[in-house]
Amino acid sequence: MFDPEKLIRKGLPKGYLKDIVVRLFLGGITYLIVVIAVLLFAKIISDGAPALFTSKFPFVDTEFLTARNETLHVFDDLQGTRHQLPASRYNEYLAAHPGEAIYNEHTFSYSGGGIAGPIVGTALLTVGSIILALFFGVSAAIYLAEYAKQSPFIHAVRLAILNLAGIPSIVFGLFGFSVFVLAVPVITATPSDRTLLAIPLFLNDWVLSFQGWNSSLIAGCATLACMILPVIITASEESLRAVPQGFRDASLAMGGTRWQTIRKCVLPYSLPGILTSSLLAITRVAGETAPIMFTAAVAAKDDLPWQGLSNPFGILSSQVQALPYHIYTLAARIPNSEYTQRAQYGSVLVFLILVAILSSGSMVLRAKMRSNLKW
Amino acid sequence: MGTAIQIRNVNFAYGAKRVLHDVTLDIPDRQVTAFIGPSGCGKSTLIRCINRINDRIPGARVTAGSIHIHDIDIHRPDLNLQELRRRVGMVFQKYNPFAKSIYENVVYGLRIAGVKNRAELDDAAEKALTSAALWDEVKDRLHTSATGLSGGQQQRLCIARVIATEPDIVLMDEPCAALDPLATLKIEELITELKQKFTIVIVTHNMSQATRCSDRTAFMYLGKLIEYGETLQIFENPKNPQTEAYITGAFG
Amino acid sequence: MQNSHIFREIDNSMVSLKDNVLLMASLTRLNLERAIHSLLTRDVDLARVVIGDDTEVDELELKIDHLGMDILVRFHPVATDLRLVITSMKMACNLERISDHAVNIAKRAKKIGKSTEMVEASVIEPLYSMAEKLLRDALLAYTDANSDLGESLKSADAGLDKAHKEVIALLSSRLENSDGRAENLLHLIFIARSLERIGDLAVNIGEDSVFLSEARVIRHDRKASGPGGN
Repeated sequence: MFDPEKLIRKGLPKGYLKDIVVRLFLGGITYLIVVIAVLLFAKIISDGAPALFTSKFPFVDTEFLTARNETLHVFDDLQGTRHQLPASRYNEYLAAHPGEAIYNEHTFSYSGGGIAGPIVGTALLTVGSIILALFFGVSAAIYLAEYAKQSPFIHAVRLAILNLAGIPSIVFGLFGFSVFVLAVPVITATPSDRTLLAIPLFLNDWVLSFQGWNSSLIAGCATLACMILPVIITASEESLRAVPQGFRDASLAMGGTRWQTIRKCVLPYSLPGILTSSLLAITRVAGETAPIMFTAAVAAKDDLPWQGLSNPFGILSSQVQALPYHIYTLAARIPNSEYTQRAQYGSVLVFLILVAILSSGSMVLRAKMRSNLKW
Repeated sequence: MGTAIQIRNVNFAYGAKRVLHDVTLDIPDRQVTAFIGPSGCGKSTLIRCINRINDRIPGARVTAGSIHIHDIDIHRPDLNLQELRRRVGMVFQKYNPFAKSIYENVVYGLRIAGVKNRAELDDAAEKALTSAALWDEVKDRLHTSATGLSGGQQQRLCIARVIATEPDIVLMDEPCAALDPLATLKIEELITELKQKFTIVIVTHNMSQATRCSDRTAFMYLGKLIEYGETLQIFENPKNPQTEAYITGAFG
Repeated sequence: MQNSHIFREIDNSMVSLKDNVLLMASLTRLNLERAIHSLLTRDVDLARVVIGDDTEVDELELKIDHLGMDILVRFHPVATDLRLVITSMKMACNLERISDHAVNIAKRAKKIGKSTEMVEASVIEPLYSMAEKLLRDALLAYTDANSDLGESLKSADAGLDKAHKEVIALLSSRLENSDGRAENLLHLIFIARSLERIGDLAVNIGEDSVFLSEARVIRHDRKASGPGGN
């Protein structure tokens, strides 16, 4: 017979103090991380806000977002007023004040105008790479999840895909350079001299020439797609597996073929997961510099990608500017001064806001799609 | 009444593990045949052989013996598997309506068979839902999600889904295992009505279910068929002592 | 009492069982009536009919037993359903014995009919009406689930017992100077005895009806006791 009196506690519960200490410690670390994150964002916002936000309606410097990138000319005029003008307005000024003297002129590359070029370039790269990655990635995921029999070989395949995720992005850049820029086949009538292999096609003088796509949008998209492929494949496979087996059983038991079952009873329900992963991949792709450095990006470009093209597909073979690359250029490749800072911090803030919008978009979309599906 | 399914000396294995040993029985047409037995006795495996849904499990195969449905060997190499599964429908233990509307669930089998005519689909849906005793309850919300129904209704929806393609045989693998007693009785009442049109094979570990709604009962144990006969005879006076021991609860 | 079940087969079976019991009951009553009638009108052919019709009653008893057994196996009934099955099977048993008594009466009536007229036969009539009323009331108690009626039968049977004793006394007194009618007087005595037994069996039926409608056991002088005794 136990003594019921022992049920009554005397004093503090056992391990009470230890519990409190551990709690405070872990909580402190957590909040410290929050503080660091807040400081990070605060610094970026406070540095970039003067460049991006204005005091007048619409409170955002639209010129910064929509004008092309130009060299900044800083000079004093006769009266000693300091002017900071992007190249196009500088030329206008010169035309408007012919013969006037200009004093203390400095030029700062990439620091004038706006960042429309990089924004557009990043958008094109992102969209292109996602399309490629989704096509290849979801196809592979469907095969791995639904068709492949579990064998050591398939395990090795999965391992290989996962390993892709660990490869440094600069290595991807070099890979993209040596493969997509220099070696992939192209159908052309005029093969270049450095082609690795030229196979005549006996049609219109066309030749299948392994000469690469040159530094271009398509090469950059392909490289970036390779980079996010493991994420897309893994997440898509997860979402396919998460669809209840009962759906497949029921469909097969009613006489459906394998592909009918996948198309009608599995794929529609795995879409939220696939979309979530692709949106996460977007945020990653938007921010990568190394893979696009050798394959697509160029620091200065006068036209937007769709301008000055001979045919609509030319857009794929043109080079582009990109936001992360632009930030790198501003920070590392030109000397620092107060005039370049506006462009630098402004670009960083815009980039951050872009990523934030994409991330929250992904969360909203995911929540909305998830709530529609109940099983 | 003819024989719908002839099972002859069927041996079945999952990989190296033998699960069915020399099972032989005839399942009569337009009657309810129940399979009872303790867990792992092979009753589910056996009925899953009838519509060959075990095919999708790697390593699972019939190692000897044959199954004929209306005199056609279902393991012949030129068998139209999709047609077999349309003629032999299956209702699962865990009801699994697709996360679509009620209407889409019921017409799914017809859609994948290639029926596109909307009027035809509507008719078939109404007929199937009426046969499943569900029409009155859902006719005003055909296009709402199927997951909004109660458990018993969802299982009846799965039954409607199966009978929409007008099969000959309906296999039921413990259809009431996940349902409360009232929903169970409704489904049993449904089974008693359906047997006028379909041959029904039902696996159950609830012996009262077998006594209530089946005409013939087969008792299986450790992969072997121990006794098979008229339900009342099996439960009033079983011939095999193992059967008696099981149904009186002398062992589990 | 007759609430319909979700599983309609149960309803069908219960109705079938009850119908068979009622059929058996009406056959039994008819047999008894005819047996007495054949005694009072000295109709030997009618007596033969009664003896022949007993086969039908026996078959019904077997059928009811079989039906009851099937219901128990198939549906595992509980509560009212279970009591209905058990009561019906017991009633079949009681009714079969009543019919046997009717056959005995008919046999003896046949013998009396073939021999001399017995003026004492008329004393059987009041006994018969009391027994017949008891039987009728018992069956009504079963059909209508009328437990009050079922309970009242015991006291009514006391009246029958008393009347039976008087008849026995009268007939026994005639035995001494019977001049050759002793055998028939004995037949009459046995007939009276059968009627008294029929009354007791009717009381049993009444008690079973009380059990059916209220789950109360009033047999063997237990009053107001529920299942399992006090």
